[in-house]
Amino acid sequence: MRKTSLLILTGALALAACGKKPEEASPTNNLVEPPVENVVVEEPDAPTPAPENNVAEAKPAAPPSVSEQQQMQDDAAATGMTSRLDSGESGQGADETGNSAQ
Amino acid sequence: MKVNNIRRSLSLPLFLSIATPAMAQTGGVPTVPLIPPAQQAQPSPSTPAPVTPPPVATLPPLPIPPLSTAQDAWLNDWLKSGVAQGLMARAKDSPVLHGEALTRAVLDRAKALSTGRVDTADFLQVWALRPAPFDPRPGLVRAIAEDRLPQWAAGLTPPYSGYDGLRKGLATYEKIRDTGGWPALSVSSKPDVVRARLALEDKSVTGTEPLSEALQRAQRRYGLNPTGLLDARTLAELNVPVDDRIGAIMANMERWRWMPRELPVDRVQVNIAAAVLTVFEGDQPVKSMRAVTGSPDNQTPMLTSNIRSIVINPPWNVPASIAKRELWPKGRAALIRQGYKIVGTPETGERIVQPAGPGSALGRLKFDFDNPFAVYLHDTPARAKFSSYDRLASHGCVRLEKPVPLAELFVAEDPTLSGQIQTLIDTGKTQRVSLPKQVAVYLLYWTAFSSANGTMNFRSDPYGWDKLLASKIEASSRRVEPTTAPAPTIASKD
Repeated sequence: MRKTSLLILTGALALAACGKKPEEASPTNNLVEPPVENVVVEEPDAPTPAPENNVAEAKPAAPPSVSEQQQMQDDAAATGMTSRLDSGESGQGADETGNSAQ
Repeated sequence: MKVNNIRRSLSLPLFLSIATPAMAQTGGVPTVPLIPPAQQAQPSPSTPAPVTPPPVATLPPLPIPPLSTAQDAWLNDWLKSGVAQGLMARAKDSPVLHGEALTRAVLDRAKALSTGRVDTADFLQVWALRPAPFDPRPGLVRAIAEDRLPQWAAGLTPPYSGYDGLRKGLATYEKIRDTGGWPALSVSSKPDVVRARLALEDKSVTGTEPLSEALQRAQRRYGLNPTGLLDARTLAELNVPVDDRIGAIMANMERWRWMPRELPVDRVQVNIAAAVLTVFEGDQPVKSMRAVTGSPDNQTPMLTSNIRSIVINPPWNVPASIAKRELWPKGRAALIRQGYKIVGTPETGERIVQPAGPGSALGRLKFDFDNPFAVYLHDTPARAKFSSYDRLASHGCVRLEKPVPLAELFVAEDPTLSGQIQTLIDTGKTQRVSLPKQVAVYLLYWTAFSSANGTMNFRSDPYGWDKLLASKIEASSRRVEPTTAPAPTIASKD
């Protein structure tokens, strides 16, 4: 029992020490899962660097303004545009290889 | 429709006898055969043997007239257009054919372009939208005789702008593939790299617009929340290989070939994969709304039918499968506490009914149409899901964001009902309203589609039907050409 307690205490100290090291702050690649021991240690003293996302603001942009008409057209495209092609357009690809039957 | 068509006070037992899943099959005959004979229930051993019909004389196939040299050359050229029509991913060297070999190849190609390459016997049962039988031979014979092969060939493909948009999109993505594809992005990719990646698919991307706006357009194209951030789901979509996008386009072109060549001008179309519904009147979209469609474990079937009536304040007769999985485990007392009713007896079979009311799973309106899957369109009390971008969550039915306006649209021609739907709901009575005219409904599964400006939109393949279709096409090709080695994608053969 005493041995177990000692082991737990040693482990906890080791983990806490791990967490205290400022040079071991979270990696900049925020796709990497944090190591398990970071879950149980105290907050590191040094602030965690912000994820290195050079691409966009961290805050979501305001939703794009889409008119009701445009939304309906987009939805119509999504449900399958069944408007019929002009007879000249239909099967255009099939005609592209030639048109010279005699 | 007349007022006396409305059953204003259906008794519950009578109504329940109507509202059972079997109801959907008793109201009429679907407009297309939903299940091929091979998949229909076989007669029980006690059923008398069917009377054998007299043999039908089979006419010999129409002879193909001899081809002129020019016709021979044109057809050989035409056979090379399989890539453009999404029948194969890459062009392959084909020998020049003549005589019967050429005729056979042309007939096979014509059938593939018209009705697809998978035999309907190989369809999943839930792919209940079946192409009509098609024999290309008479048309080919006439086209040769009248020397109108290009016109004949042009008429083989689906005559819809949706198909044509995919055909053009396919050419774009094949060009992207042939010039090296796109780079994989990560969260730390530089803005210029992301912008260039977006511009490959979206020609409206400019160097001066905020990147977040270009990202929002991309997110809308993928059906994601348009945050303008390069988040994990956006990255995942942008990193889908171009070959997979080509495969998705080809799978959707194949499904377009299952569509009827004539559609009623007034109809409702649902895209199951995008969980969106559009109403067309006079062939033009007049209303659209979000929907909730079946979860991957409870797939909404592809089908076509006709909406004939609306049930106002419908009770929910819980299907046995849902009751067994989700309700009976709660215990009878809990079910009764939650307002369910248990009808029948243990001897005759018990079932669970949720009475009509504001908490009914069917909400206040149910749009009935004949189908063997007991699915329908309906209202729902769970409104929060409509603001989500992941809306494949139902048991297979289609839940509607705006059921009352949809019902009003359907009864608009009836002066006694127009504007009365909410009033009828407010009575609290269960009533069935026959529509002044039936409305065609199409439940479709589109994972790739083109916007009006030609930009392609994609949805994930939530049911895995694109990949399954590819494998079925592959198997079908192997049966035709048993010596052909299997190929990795849908695109390998026609």
